[in-house]
Amino acid sequence: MYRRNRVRKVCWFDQNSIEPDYKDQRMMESFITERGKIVPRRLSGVCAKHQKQLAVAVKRARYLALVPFVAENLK
Amino acid sequence: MKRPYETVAIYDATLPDDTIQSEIGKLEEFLKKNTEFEQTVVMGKKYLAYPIRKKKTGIFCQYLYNGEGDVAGKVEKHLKLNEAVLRHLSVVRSPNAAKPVKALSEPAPAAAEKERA
Repeated sequence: MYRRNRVRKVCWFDQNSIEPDYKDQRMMESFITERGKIVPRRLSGVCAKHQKQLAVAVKRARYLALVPFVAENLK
Repeated sequence: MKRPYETVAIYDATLPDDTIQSEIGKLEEFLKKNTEFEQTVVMGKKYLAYPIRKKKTGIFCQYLYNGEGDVAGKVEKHLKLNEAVLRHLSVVRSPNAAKPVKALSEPAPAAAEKERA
C-alpha cells in the first residue's frame, strides 16, 4: 500500500510569532470560509493553542461586525 | 492590581464629524480621570459585515488603558448610555497582544478568493 507523502503543515501564528487579533479584519477573514464558518485545524494547520485563541478572536470580530456570522448576502 | 484593558467602540458614521470627535474626546476624558490611560487609536470608517441598528458603516475606535477590576463596569455604563455608540467591546489585553492596528481609512476590500479544500 503506497503512503501519500503529505507535507507537514506549520502553524501560521507560530511561523509569524504573532497572536490572533480580533481587530485585524484581514487576518480573521483568512481563517473563515466564504460562508463565515471558522476553518478547522486539519485544513488550516493551526496548532491547538492558537486555534482556541483564534476561535475566541473570530467570535469577538463577529460581535463587532468585522466579519459576518453567516455570509449569505456575499458582497 | 492593575490590568491592561482595551475597549473597541463603533460610532455611528452618519453623525457629523465634530460630534464624533467630541464623543471620542468625552470618553478619553473619562478614561484619563478613572484609569491609567495609554492611547486612543481611531481605526477609521469601515463597512459593517451586517447592519447594526440599520447602519451599514461605522467608525471604529480603540482605547488602551490600565485599571483595577471595577473599571470595566464603569466604562460599560458610560458607553451604554451613549447614543452615538452603536456597539462596544471591552477585553483584557493579553500580555503579547499585537500592536494597535493602524488606522484603516479605506473601506475593507472584498474578501480575497480562498481555495478551500
